[in-house]
Amino acid sequence: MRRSKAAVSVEVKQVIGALCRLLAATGVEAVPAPETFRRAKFGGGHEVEDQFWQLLLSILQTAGIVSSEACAQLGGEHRKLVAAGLWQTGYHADWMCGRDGGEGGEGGRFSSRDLLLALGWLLAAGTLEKLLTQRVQQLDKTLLTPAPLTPQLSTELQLDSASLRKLQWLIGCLRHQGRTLLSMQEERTRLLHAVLFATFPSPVSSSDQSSTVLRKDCVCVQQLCDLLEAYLNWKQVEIVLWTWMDSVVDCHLTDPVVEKPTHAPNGSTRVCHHGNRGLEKLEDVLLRLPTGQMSQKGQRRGRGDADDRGGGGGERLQGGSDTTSLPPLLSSLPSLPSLPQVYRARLQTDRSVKHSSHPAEGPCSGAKAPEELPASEAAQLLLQTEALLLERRDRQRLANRMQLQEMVGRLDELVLIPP
Amino acid sequence: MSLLSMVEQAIKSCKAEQAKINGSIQLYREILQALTPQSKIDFEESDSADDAVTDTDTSPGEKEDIELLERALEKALRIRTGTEPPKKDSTKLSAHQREPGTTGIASKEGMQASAASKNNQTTIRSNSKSVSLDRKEHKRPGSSVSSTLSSKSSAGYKPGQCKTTSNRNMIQNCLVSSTGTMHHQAVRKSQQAGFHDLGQLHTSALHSKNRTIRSNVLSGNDLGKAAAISTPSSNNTAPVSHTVGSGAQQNGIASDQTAKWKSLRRKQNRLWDKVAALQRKPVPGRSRFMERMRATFPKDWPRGSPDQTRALVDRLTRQGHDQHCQTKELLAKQTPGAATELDGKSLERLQMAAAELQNFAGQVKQEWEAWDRWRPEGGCLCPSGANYVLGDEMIAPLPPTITYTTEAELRELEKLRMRVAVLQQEIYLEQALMDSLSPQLSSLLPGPGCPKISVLRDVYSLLGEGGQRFPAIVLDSETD
Repeated sequence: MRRSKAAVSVEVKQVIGALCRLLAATGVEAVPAPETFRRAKFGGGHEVEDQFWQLLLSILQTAGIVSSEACAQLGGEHRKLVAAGLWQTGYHADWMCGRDGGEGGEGGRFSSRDLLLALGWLLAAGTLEKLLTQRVQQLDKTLLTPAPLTPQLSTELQLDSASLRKLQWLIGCLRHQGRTLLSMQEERTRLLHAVLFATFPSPVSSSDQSSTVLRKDCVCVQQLCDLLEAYLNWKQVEIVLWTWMDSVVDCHLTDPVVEKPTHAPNGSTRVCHHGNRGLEKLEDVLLRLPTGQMSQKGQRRGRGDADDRGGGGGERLQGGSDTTSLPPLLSSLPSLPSLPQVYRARLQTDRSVKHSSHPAEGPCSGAKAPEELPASEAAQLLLQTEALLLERRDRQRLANRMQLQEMVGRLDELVLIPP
Repeated sequence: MSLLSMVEQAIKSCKAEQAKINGSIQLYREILQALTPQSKIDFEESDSADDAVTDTDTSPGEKEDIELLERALEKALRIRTGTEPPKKDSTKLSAHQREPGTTGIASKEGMQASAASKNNQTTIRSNSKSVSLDRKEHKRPGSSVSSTLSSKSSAGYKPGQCKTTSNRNMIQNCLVSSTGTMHHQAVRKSQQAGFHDLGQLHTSALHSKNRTIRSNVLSGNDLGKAAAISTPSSNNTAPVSHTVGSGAQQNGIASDQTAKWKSLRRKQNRLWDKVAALQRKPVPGRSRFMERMRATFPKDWPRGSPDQTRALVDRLTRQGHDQHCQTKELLAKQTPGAATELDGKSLERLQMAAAELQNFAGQVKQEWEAWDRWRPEGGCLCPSGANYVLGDEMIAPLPPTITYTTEAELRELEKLRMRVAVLQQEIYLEQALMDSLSPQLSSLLPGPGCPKISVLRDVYSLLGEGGQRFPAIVLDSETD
């Protein structure tokens, strides 16, 4: 039986309300009212658009998709920031390629509906989950987060004894820091276990003193529970939103559209202000790989060659077929098994250990991280990763040693005696 | 940025991580301290309530009874509040906070005086009424917490369930603080009376427990003070906090707080379970929407996102480097003796892998370039601090739960994680070192005059031994 339009729209409004609550709970500011969404579908005026600009900007900033660097670079130009953020998630829209300082889109085709579609894309691309994860990290102090020890890119080093000595000292210092971290981590884990253990009901009624810490933690955990409940509510009714979004897309597509640009605004390959370093490195590495012949292509070429290659075409690399064949090839590449970055630990006492869900198909390494897994499996994964990494490191060192020994061997006067 | 400053930065990040771990350790210690029983009580402000000191050694059984008592009190209050739902919202949203508060206290004081030595139903009722008045008063500080949460959402939509759930928990919160208030009011007056009344509400025999209940009073003081400090609207609790000044902390209210904390954490666990169950279900509408949007993109628009492409490029680079090292190793093994068949096969395998990698890299490169063509101002394909992912997988959507059964398991897990992180950092550094030193190596040796031996030694140790061991370089003056 067909439901009345009114009933459907009421339901949609409720669902959008659930979405708004969830967004607010994750710390996004400037969440508009559900009614605004409906107006946006049919092209509300400038205030509706403004509200959506603000919302999109807030989401992109809170989720960290738009880096602070980009914010500084673009200043207060919301439109550009939002366009950059959407590009970062893989979205394309015609209005994003508008000329600078020109009309916002192609001759007035732009409306709040485009912004609504952009929002839908962000939601579909998992931005909500990202926001949720970040908020959870802020609220829950018992999460286990990884050590972000990644150093930045670097350039050159002088080959003189002073700086080499300093480097050696620094590397020794770093090693010491690593060891300190390990021991501190032990202590922390011990305490964390005690805290997690304390969540179980104990026969002995406890504390003799109340504390502000506990109170604050209660507040945080309360907020966390609210957030999770909002998320659950949203997930249960999510499908209604997607149906509605479909109708928005329909509206959008039935509008007479200007022909899509089939090429980018400027035809030449642009270079990121960082200089496309990642791609350069890849090309350097690929050069060193053996090709068909068993020639000693392992010799490293000078940097000079790399420079003219970095900018231009990759004719030497075979162009592959269309990119849809990427996923299967990806899985054939051996990859490091690894744990996701943030996880929560959960102590299980008498309950039978649940079996972890089998990972769904994922594009990259063939296995998406399951939502729950026992510690023994996680430890296995990590052991494997460690073994692979150690192998890789030792291989690298061996290659270096061989190269140096070879170099010294060419000299007649010096003999290198390895340790 | 030079290599030196890169390593310095790595050290800084280690130290920052250490500070973070320290902070966590501190926090956990404090939480544990608040949760576990202590044999020795410290007084924040001592007072004339010395007889309370003797109450501190309560047996576990008595403590249990106190907990039961508190829970029953909670229940009673909940029943009470169940009869007054419409008032809640209005009191929450109303701006006038002080008057009901002071009247609440005034009435309470009056009641305390009248209830001096009598145990009768009227005083009980009036006490519970004062408790409920208190509840409203205290709810406002609690509700301001939830209202900050909901105030983030713009005006214009009616907050729904969110408030009701927080409402319920605020009541619990207020119960805790309201019993505290009541308690420390009574400290000034007859200590026995109010608690006898309370005791009548419950089935347990309280006469023997007078002293222990009185000890609840004293813990309530601290709680009341804590409530005054930690809640945002401090004015409201000002009339309450003036009586804080008495003595020791003891069980009761605090154990209620503990119970609340525990139940909240358990609730959180349950919610995470539900979330995990929901995660496993696919949402067809979502992927359909994405496909439809993708259909509107230009023809050469790559799939995925720039971040994914970047992660792929990194992975391929590392893979290529590793293969390069493998090939070198294999070739070096081969040259001394005759090439065995096994070696030949593995070399072939390596070459095939290399060809595959090249092929793959070609595709990825095309993707990268496509992204670059469409890149707007401010978009970036290079790893920035926040987005750089050393691991090979995409970031999981929500933090998964790892279940463990013994402490040893958790410790091992964490140890391994840290070891892997440190190892990754080490590998990255060594590679960066190699990249920056290699072009200069060739210039090192055939230089005029004596080659710098110490430099050679250092370079060997850094690149070949991770800086841990040093070779010996001997000058061979005899040429044969």
